[in-house]
Order: sequence, then C-alpha cells, then structure tokens
Amino acid sequence: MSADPKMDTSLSKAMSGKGKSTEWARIGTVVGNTSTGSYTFILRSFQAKLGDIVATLVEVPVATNGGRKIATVWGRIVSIDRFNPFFPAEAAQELADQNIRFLDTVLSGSRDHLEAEVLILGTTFGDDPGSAQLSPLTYPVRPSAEVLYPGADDVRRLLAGDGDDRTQKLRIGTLIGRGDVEVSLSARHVVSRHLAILAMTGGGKTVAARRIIRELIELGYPLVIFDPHGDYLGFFEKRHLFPKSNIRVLYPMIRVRQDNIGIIADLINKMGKRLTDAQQQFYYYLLSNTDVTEGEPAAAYIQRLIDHAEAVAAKKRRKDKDLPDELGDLRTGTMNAAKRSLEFVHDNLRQMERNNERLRGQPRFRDYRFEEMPDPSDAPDEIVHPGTVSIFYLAGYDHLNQSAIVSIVLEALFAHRSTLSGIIPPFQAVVEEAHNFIPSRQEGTDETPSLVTIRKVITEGRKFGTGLVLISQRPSRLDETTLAQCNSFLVLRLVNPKDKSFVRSVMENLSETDANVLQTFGSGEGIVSGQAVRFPLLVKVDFDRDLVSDAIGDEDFIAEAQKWKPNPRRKANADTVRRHMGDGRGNNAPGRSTSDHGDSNAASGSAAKGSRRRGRRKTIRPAGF
Amino acid sequence: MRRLARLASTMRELLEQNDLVHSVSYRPREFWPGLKGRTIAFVDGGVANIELPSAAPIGIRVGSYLVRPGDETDQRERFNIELSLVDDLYSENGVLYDSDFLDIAKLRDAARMASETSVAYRLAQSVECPDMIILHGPLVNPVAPYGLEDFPPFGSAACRAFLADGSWTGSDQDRQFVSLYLELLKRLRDTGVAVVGAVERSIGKDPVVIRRLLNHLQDQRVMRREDVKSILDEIIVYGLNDASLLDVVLQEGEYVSPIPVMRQGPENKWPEEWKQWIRDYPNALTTYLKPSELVMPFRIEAFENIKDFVNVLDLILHTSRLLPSYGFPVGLDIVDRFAKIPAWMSRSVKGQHQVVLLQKALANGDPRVLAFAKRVLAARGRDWLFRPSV
Repeated sequence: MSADPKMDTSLSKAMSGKGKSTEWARIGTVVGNTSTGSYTFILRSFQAKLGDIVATLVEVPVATNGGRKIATVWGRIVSIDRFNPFFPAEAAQELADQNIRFLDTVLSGSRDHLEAEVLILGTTFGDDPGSAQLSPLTYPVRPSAEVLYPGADDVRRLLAGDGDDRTQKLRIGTLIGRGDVEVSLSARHVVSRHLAILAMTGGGKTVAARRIIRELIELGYPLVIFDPHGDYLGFFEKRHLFPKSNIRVLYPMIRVRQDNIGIIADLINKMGKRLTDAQQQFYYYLLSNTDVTEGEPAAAYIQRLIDHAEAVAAKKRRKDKDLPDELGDLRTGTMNAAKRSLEFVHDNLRQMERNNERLRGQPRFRDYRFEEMPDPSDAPDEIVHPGTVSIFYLAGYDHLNQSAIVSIVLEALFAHRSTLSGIIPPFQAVVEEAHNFIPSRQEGTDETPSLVTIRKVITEGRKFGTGLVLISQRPSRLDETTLAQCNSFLVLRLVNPKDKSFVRSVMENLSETDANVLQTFGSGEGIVSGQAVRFPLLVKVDFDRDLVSDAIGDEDFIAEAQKWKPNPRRKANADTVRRHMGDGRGNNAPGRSTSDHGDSNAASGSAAKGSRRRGRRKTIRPAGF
Repeated sequence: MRRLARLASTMRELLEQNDLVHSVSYRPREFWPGLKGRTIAFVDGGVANIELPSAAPIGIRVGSYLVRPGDETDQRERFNIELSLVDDLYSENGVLYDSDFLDIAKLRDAARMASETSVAYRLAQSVECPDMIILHGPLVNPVAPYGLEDFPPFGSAACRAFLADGSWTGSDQDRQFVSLYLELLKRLRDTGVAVVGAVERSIGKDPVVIRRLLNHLQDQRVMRREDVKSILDEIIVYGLNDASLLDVVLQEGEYVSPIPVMRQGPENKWPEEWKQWIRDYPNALTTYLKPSELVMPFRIEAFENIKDFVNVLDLILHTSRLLPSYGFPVGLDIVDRFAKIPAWMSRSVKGQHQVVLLQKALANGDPRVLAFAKRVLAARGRDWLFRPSV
C-alpha cells in the first residue's frame, strides 16, 4: 500500500491518459532500489529487449512549496537478466550426464523471471517528447511504478529532439531490434565536433562511415577522404547516385613551385631525418642555388638537389677553389648527411609513386578516372568545394608516407580555414585506419607526422569549420588525447579487452553494461553516443547495398592463387644465369633455382637451426650429390 | 560404530530374508519417455508469517504444479494457486477471532494441513484430474494435538472453501479440525487417484516404520518377540529413527515394503471426545525410499487403496534423481518455491489484516470490541526485551 494515495491517483490518471492517447503498452513493474540514474524492473516475457527505449512516470517536486509535477522518465534497457528459480542447476547437470530430454521430465522451464536494468536518459514534461527539453531526473522512480513501451512515433520524436529539420540530420540506421525507429546524428555536431567510428575488423565501420558520408554528400557538404585501402572508391564508381555532387579520386603527387618550395623541407621533416643546423645551412644553400621548374614533381626536383649536393661535395673533397665561401666551413660529412636525407625522401617518394601507379593500373580500375591531387596550398579549392568529395587513394604507400601526405594536405587545408583566407568552405575530413595516423605514444609517434596535424585540427577545427571523422579498428592504438576530443562516438562490435577498456576510458558516458555489450554486437550494430545524439543509443546501421563497389570488395585469394602462373620468362632467365654462371658457391646444377625450391630453403633453415642446437653447422647438399 | 554396523547388518539381513526390501532401478533414458501423456501434480502450501497478538490471522496459499512430461506444447506445465486464504479462519462470523486459544502455531499448522489436503481433493475431482498427486509432507498427519478442548473450529466459509462445497453446512463439531480433516482425507481417498505424501525431513525419534515391520514379522510368527524387543531397544538406546537407520540399511534405489502405519499415536493420548473420529483416520501406507547412495532415504505415504504403488515409487525415484545431491522429488522443490510466501507478502497480509480488523471493529460499534481491536493493533507482545530497565 502506498504511503501517499494522492500521488497514486494523479500518477494513475496520467498513466491511463498516456495509455489512451498513445497506446503505450505496459511491459513491467519497477522493483528494488531506484535512483535518479537507473532502476530495475520485472519485464513481462517478450515485451521488450536490450537497447529498447522505455518510459515510466514519476512525480517530481517542483520549486514551489509542496508542488509536484508528473514527468516522463525515459530510459534505455542496458541489461536483462533472465533466470528460472524453478530450474535447479543440479537438475541441469543430471540432464546432461544422463542425456535426458528436458521436456520428457517433470522439470519446469516456463517460469522465467526477466529483470531488466534501465539507464535513465532524462525526463520530459508534457505530451510531446520531441518538443520538450530533456532534463535530468531529480527524484527517483517509484518502486512498483509501471514501465511502459512507448510508441514508435514518440520515440522518434524523442530521438529527433528540438527542431526536427530533416536537412540537419544524418540518418545512420534504426534502433536495434526496432526497425520502426530511425536513429540520426545531428549533422551540425558531426561536422563541427568530430566523430569517431570504432569497430573491430568486420564490425561494420566502413559501412557506418559510408552511411554518414552518403548523408553528408546529400547535404552537399565538402568532404575530403583519406582512403588507405580504397574502401571509399565505391562513391566514385556509384557517382551517378549523386548527380549534384562532384566525386573525385585523387592520387598523391607533390609538385613544387617557387612559392611552395618549403614543401621539400616539410617532406624532409616528415619523412626523413631532422637536419642539424649545419646540414640545414647546406640544404638552404642547395635550395637557393637549384632553380625550380614551375610545377615539376617534387621527386624530380629533389633528384636535382641531390645531384647538386653531390657535385658540391666532390668539389669539397677535391678542395676546388671555386667552392663557395659560405660552404668553406662545412665538412664533407655534413654535406653527405644532408644529401642522404634528400635521397631518403626521394627514394620514398619514387617508391610510393610507383606503388600507387601500379595499383591504379589494375584492370579492376579500368573505369576509374584517377586525378593527380591538386596542390593543397595553392589550389585548395580544387580539393574542397561545395558538393565535392575528394577521395585520396593512398594505397601502395607505406604508413610513414601516407601519414606525411595526410599531414601535408590536412595542414594546408586547415591553414586556409584558420587564416580565414576565404578560399575554401568548411569541410569534413574522413581519416580511415586512423590508428596509423594518430598512433598512441607506445606505437612510436616520431615517425607519424600526421599526429601533430590531426591534433591541431581536432583541437581547433571546431572554430574554423574543419571536422574530422576518425575511423579505426584498433582504438587502443589511437592517441588518447586526440580521440578524447571527439565529441561523438559510434562504437560497433569490439572484442579485444584492451580496445574495450580504452573506449570506456575515452567515452565518458559509456556505462559498464554498455561496454560489456560491445562484444555481442553483430555486424553493423553498435552504440552511438555524444553530442550528435540526445543520449546513447543502440543502433543498427543501414547497409547501403547500392554503394558497394564492384571493383573493390572481398577478393577471392584462393581462386587467384589457383589461377596464378609464374612468369615463364622470369624462370627461364634465372635458369640461364645459373646454367652458365653457377650460383657463386660451386653449385651450377641445372634446375636448382632457389625460386623453384622454396622448400629446400625452408629445410635448410630448419636444418641450420637444428645444427646450431647441436653446435655444428651442417651443409645441405642438393639432390644427386 | 561397531554396534551400529551390527544393528544395520541385522536389519538388512532380516529385511532381505523376509522379502521386505525391494528396489527400483534408475533408468532415466527409458523411464522419462515412457511417462509421456501422463499428468503429474505436485502440491505444497505456503503460510504467511504473521504475528498479530490475540488473533488468528492466516495467510495461506496452496500451489500446484501440474506437468505433462513429453508434451511439447505450451500446455506442458501449469502453475496455479489453487487455494488462497487470507482471513481469520477460525472466526465464525468472519469479524474477529475472540478465543482463548493462543497457540497460533498450532492453529496455523491445522489450517495448512487442511488446505493442502483440500487442494489434492480438488485436483483429484477436477476435469484435468492428474494421474498422480504428490504432496509435500505427510499424507496423514497426527490430529490428537489439535483435538484440545478449547481448540477453535474453522469458520463456516473456510470449511466450505476446504471442501469445495458452497452449500456445505456443518455443526461446530464438524468444523473442528479433527473432523474436517478426516472428512477431507476420506473424500480424497475415495477419489481413487494415486495420492502420496513425501516427507522431506524425518524429525521424530520414534522408529515407527521399523517397529511396524518387526511387529509384522512377529505377528507372522517368523520372529521371536524377544528378538524384536532387543533390536528395538538397541535402536532406541542409540537414538536412531527410521531414516537414520535405513540410511545405512538401504542401498541405492531400494525401499522397504510399504506397510500400513497408524499415525495417530497411542490411543491413551487421544482426547476422549475425539476418539471416535481418530479411530476412523486412515492408515498411511508407508515406506522409505533411498534415491541414491549420497542421500538419506525419505518417507513416502499413500492410502492403503493405492494402485500401482511401485509405479509411483518409480516416479518418485526418478524425480528425486533430478536433484542428485538433494535426493528429493524435484517437482516438490518447484512447487515449494512457487507457493512459498515471501516475507514482503507476509508484511502486506499483516497490514491489510490490521486495516480490516479496525474497520470491522469500528463498524461493529461496540466499544468493547473497538478497545479490543486497538489493543490488538497496538500490542507488541510481552517480551523480556521490553522489560523496564533500571
């Protein structure tokens, strides 16, 4: 019996009113201790499930003396415990031991108790959950209160919140298990406050990112996508779906001009070894004495710098008299060190250009139109433009080079935004495989030039209309400071305990029960929280089947391996060399090429190990000897 | 220990020689599928723990668990509260219990026994009459302790509820526990349904069943009276009861020959005015079954007219083996949990009872009744805890 009959009456009136107008089903009763943060209730069988939004009514005191107001308390079911007090564990053991069918016995299996834990999301006053401000609950839910299952429209309005303007929402999917309730992100918050999408491989992060990108494209918002594996090339392939947008696929090519000659120093800093003061003096000498051909590739220009350096160093060695005075004090070693840095950058640049070119040349990309990336300093508007999606295809570059490219491009674009040059509009950058671009300290940040850039953008980008979407499959390898700056998170399936605990440490409002759910998500299922939504929600991300690329997908490596044939010319050449020249160790037996007999290498390796164990070296003789 | 072992060996040999020990085999994979299509009912009562001085409020509910092994439909199992009584059972007018009999525990026990037997009777009469009914506790209880001179009769409404007969009218004597319980047992026995009681704990010190078995051998003149006496004396000296001795005598799956036991105790202790009724009480066909080596045997009682008692014991063995380390029919464990009245419910019953008591006392208008009601509600009992301190 209640201590306050008046309260019961008013609540029950409100409850019945709610029931009539919106037909909210009664699904359970609050039990146990309640608080302003959570409550538990006994759930009727099959009436609700994990992640569902539920409601209950509570009378809360208002400022005026003794006044009360009925609030609708919104909550999310964060766990459901199911237990059958009538089914003893002993019996289960006996059933298993004796291999008896449960149904054949007198055991009971029908009296399940379902106890659901609800995380309170907030309260609203009045009938329309969408129009009202969601405010914290200030008075605990009443034990014995009825728990209601709100109608889809009401939940939709609740999730949409203020000003349900469709153009400002990015639909990402529906509530898990409730396909009639759409879940959207606030576009405004995504583009200005940064978003992280985290999931293990196969968790659906690319699907989720594609969904959000698609919605941003529909809004005509400028996008820059750094795509290390070509996951987003499908947007180009399916560009007919976005007739109002200009979708471009860019490959990195750094060119130099007189006014951006500093980029070489950037490349040395970001890719190579930092120059000492003396080396820098030599480097500046080279720069000022090697003419730039406008728009020439950076690699070609660096090669000319190297040639120049070699010539000067030779003069120094020869002690030529026409060696410029300013280099008189420099040692040859200093010159050679600077030259080696340049060679390192040059080799890297050439290598990555060749790799990328080879990848672009694959038959599957025959219908693609790859464009060389515009100069982000000089022509940022060719990259960032309303309705333009610029996808940087970074495949073939190693992490260091990818990181350098991202750093150069992002820094240049952000510089335009932060100096308010007015050349480019606000834009959103999407960084896939973010753990390679913003690694944690343990991962070795020295070789990751993009870390500093992204840190800067994520800290200051909000003021200058530069948003980031960071996507990663290994959250625990991400830089914590950077990730913590993301105001919204979409976390899909995560199993690795390190990743889960890291995500929990970064996401302030992720409860322990939510963290435990992460590993149970199916592909495309996850939890979204932060400023982009009114409160954390379990979401099933829509799968945009029409955006799946025909060229990029799950390659069938087994079929490829079965069809693969070695290049006969390569083998013939190798045989010729061995037949005539031997292998330098007196072994000139025909048909014994290393490539033919990979197993013999392995055998020799293991034999060598074995011989080391026995303390003597064993010679492996080819067959016939 | 040596003498106990000797005693056990003697008993074992005596039982074996006289064909008084039998066994049912545990063969679950064969047994359970063979039970398909039959309905088994398990019955147990729960009593609310209500302390209200000077009144006899009873909160009793008797639950049943009916199960059809092998049935794959939603109808396989059915839980039901067959009888739910929240009342002053012993008040004739349903207003206020005003008797001098203050042994509330006895009143409650009597009400529980009547209720459980009543539910078994209702089930046996129902359309979905089960093939077997298994009660939690003895089938036939001793009634002499409840035949005291000032023991109050049940109210008429309670009697009608117990007998599932809205038109029943009975005298004060008919409403007394001793006569009403007898009536219920007779009616239940006459339904012909196999009804047994399984007793979870043996608390008495008297080895009733062993004595009856030995007496039976003596009656058949296959055992000397002196020998019977010496064995019984030794059992009593060592304080052994049926369960503790049979625990070492019986092996897994064994039971002693069911033997009729008159459970009403020595006649000289029967209240004189109830002797005629007590004499009519049915005997309990009693045996002890030891489900497995790990557990003690427990007592099983049936009416003497039971058919296929061996089949019932087979079922009891198999249901007990589903709780291997507890060794008691799992169905009774289930229905016990179902019918048990939790503390929070007892508190509510007490609160509700207090309100009704006061309302009725006010409506009665008699200042004496009202004063009494107030006293009842305010009373906390006299307890050493409340003695004035110095």
